[in-house]
Amino acid sequence: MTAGMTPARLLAALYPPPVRERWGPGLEDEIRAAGRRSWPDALLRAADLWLHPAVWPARSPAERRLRASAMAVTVTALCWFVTHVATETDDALGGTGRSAALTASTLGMAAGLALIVPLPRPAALAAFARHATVRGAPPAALAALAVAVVHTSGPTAGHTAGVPGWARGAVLACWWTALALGALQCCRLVTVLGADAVVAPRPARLRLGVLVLLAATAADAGAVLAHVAGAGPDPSAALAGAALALLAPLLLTPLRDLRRATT
Amino acid sequence: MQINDAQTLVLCVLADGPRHGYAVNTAIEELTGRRLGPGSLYGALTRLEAKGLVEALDGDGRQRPVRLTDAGRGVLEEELRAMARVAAAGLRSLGVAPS
Repeated sequence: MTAGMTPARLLAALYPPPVRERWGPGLEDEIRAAGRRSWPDALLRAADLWLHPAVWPARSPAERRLRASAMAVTVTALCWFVTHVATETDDALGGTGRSAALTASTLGMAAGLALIVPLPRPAALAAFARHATVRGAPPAALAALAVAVVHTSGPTAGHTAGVPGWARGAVLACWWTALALGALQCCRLVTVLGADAVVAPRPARLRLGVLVLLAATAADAGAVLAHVAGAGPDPSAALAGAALALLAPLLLTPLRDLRRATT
Repeated sequence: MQINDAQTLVLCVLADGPRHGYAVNTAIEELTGRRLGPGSLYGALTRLEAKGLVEALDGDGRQRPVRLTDAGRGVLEEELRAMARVAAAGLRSLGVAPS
């Protein structure tokens, strides 16, 4: 803990930035006054508010829709990532990965994302490109490194004989980290630039897009869980299926929050 | 019901006039005997503001005062009437006269 960083300040710092800007000092005072017994409540509500970006203080309904779409993109990226990791690491599920159900759900995700993704305003294209380059460079470099290693030594391309397990694991970890970081940076790009630089999807389009994403991620979870049910004990696939089944309903929270929000 | 317990309590104490967060919680403590947790209090304020039921005013200190909007007053009245109906029905079923 750095000098001046009290537990109250640390807990208040865990809240989403717009909430901190609006209520930060009061929240910090209240945590300090209530003492240790208030810490679980403060932590729990911080986590809860991160899952409901559409209710954060906003300057306009468009800003709320922008945050809702960023949340939907993040959850979809997480679902895709979990499926990708599961099919890459589980040979039995890898067969399912090429199944029609998972291919259809991936196409559904792409269609849903096309409907809800905020588009850059023409006047802000330069700023958008600059931010995208800066934020996208680390994951792109990491992915390029993984691809280069695979092509020069072949540890993951089927030529695994003689390649130590740790080397294969390191390259795969590098590849997944690059994908996760890339998805995270895409979402951060939208929220950092804000409504001045990107156009939020219209309400009906956002609703339709999120419903398409929900159907696609639910189909994804269903395909993985069906594999678990049919193929017998497969802990990693079961874990992936459970994660997908927990993540998919999160797509509904921004829609519910937007329906209740009036400002 | 459109709002939860913490939100109803916050609206209730704001019906007297604008207050900042600490004063809202002190009034809730006077009303119910216990304070809301800091996360519950500010989570409720955040959601109520998103629904347009309260609005934050410019403050001159560390904390921003909050006031009830006209929509908030309407929702509070509706909630309290619903709660009064439930309380009256419950007391009747118990054979207890409302105090």
